[in-house]
Amino acid sequence: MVMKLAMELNDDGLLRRMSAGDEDAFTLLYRRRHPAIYRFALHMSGNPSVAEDVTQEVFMTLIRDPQRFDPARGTLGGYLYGIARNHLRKRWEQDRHSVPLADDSDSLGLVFGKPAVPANGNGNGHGPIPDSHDLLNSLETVGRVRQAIGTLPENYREVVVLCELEEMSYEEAAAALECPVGTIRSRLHRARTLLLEKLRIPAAKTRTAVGP
Amino acid sequence: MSEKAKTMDCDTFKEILHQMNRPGALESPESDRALAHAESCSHCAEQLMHVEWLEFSLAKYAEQSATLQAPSRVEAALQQEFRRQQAARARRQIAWRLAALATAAALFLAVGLSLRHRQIQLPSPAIDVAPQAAVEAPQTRPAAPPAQAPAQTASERKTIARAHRGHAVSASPVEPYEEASFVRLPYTVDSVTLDGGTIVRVEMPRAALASYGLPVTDFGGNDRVPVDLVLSTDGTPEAIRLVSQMSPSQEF
Repeated sequence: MVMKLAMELNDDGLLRRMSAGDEDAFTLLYRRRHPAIYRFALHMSGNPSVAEDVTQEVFMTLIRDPQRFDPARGTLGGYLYGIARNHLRKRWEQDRHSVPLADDSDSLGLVFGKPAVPANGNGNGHGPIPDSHDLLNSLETVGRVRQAIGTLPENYREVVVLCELEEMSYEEAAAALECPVGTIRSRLHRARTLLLEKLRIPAAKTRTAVGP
Repeated sequence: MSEKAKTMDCDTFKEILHQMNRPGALESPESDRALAHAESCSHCAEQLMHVEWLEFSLAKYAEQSATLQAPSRVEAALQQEFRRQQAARARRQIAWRLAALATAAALFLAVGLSLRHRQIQLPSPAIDVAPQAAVEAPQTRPAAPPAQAPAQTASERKTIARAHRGHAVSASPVEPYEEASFVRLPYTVDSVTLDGGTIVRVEMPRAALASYGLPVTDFGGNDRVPVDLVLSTDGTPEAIRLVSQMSPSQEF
């Protein structure tokens, strides 16, 4: 039944059926949409528990008032991302002591099955960029990038998560974040520059580490 | 430095650096010029290498996190909430329907009571009240009371002793020559008391009067005959008399 629904209906169709009380339609819609929302909340908060709560709240909102979504104003995905962002901001306002990722005890590292890489001696997570061939498959590299993403300002972190990690186009990210495509492009450029700065070591050390 | 490299400086290279490997972000010739510039500029080449490393790391991170999803307990909790919401919605719908039914029933009851009340107040359908009927309140223009009301006679007929207060109505058809006598209408109870009643002068069809046993044979060819009706306090006609049978002194 669920498979048949999945083949026949898009998001709008599933939402209509869900509004009419079809639990299978809701289940399918949840399974189709929740991973991206969960990952977005996880990357933004750096905390699996928060990501779980936010995901649940997003779909609770959809269950309680499905009519609030207006297809004329955007996609269902963008609508759900918007709810997730609002819930994340509420969480941050409620718990200002919980700083995402950088100051976290790195519960996200546990999600990937490996403790986070400790920060280098300078205390800001910066370190040399080793030879790329040695690090291609290294979890350490991923860990450092993840930590660097976590220290980005919220606006920049959002575009990195959507455009780089979720592989959205500029247009899709613009729809999800409800801002112009040019804003996405400029924010992403700035975010990547910041990431490079956070991951960079002094030029001399870089050359030593990278080049023979 | 090649000819291509001369067309791009380091600032321009820096501007487009993060777009170079994004599909569709740059035109092919511009990307080629940027690569050519990197071959001739070691600083920009290093920048390009760092960006490529960053992109690779991001892709690796995305690959590792691609399979992440919320625990199954979230789905179970949401399904439970969905069922709870549906049940609540069904209860609300039932409540609304019951409320609508109750409202409709109350409306029908009110309309029915109103119609019944109006039906009680209306005169008997047999009595055709003419538009020119003169309605007279007993306080202002009391009708002449029956001057000679031989009520309590031996005959079956009883006459109205007084039109306004404590009128007793005859129980049987009246004799045709009994002047100023009210005849009780068939559906009224015996010895009706007409406290506060009203006498109304109307015209009624001859046939209707004949059905009450009134002598209407000598009214010529008139189809409508003037009569006095005694109305009870609730507007129900109780008794009737022919006006033409009365003496002029008894008329209003």
